[in-house]
Amino acid sequence: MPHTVSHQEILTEEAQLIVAAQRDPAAFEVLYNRHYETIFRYVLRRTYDEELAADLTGQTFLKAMTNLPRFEYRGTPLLAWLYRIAGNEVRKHYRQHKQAPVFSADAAELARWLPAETPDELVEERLALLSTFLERLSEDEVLLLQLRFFEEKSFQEIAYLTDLGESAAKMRVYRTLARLRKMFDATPQ
Amino acid sequence: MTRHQIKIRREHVTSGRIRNHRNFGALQREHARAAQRRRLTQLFAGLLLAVSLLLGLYLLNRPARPDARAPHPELQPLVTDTVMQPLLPAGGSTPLR
Repeated sequence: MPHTVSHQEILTEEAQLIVAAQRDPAAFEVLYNRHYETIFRYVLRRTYDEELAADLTGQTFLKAMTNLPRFEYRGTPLLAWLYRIAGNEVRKHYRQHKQAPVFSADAAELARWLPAETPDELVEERLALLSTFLERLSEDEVLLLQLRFFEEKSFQEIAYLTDLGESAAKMRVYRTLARLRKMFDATPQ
Repeated sequence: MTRHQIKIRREHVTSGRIRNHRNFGALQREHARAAQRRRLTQLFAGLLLAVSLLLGLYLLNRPARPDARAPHPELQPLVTDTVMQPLLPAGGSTPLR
């Protein structure tokens, strides 16, 4: 019978890798390679520029490596911790440069939000409309949507990343979706 | 603070392209440099603390010295009923006369 790796086994393996990396920074490479792309994509969605995303991802991993000896493994996946550090790095960047935060998405990624029956010739127009509606939301609301639908995070993880309670995060996501739907409905077809 | 912007990326960033940005060697070097800077800062802070402690201890325990502002026992003010006259110049007359 084939052995399937459970979530618990992955966490246990990760805990062992963390302990190894706390003893020897060179052992951090496995965790770095494992999570680099996920964190890079997350940062890229919160910026627009690929070079900036690479820079901020590098800063995120440097912070993680520096603070790893103090990291206490209590069942929260390392990735959630990395997301938190990355979020702080992105915020710090916009604050230091006094720039308005940017959220970006692949056209294909965003097109999945449109109703399936949207005619091809209207996709571009609807995407532009969707981005206008997303700009009308607050930054926190866009972040919640990003975490839920682009990063595919659970509400428990969203709660950890945004310092909200789990039920509060769930309520805000659904309220934001309802607002977006209302904006679309109010638009003449 | 200005509001956020939403931008649509037309070009998909592939996993291969992301892999090109990955560089653990550079991260390790940067980490080593940061660790060295931290150690130097800690050493400097430790030295500063030790010097301040030593200076504090010295100031608290230094031998008491006679206070320069205290009156000298031989230079006590003289209290007398005699009205002191200013000394006259050698000619015997004061410049006012």
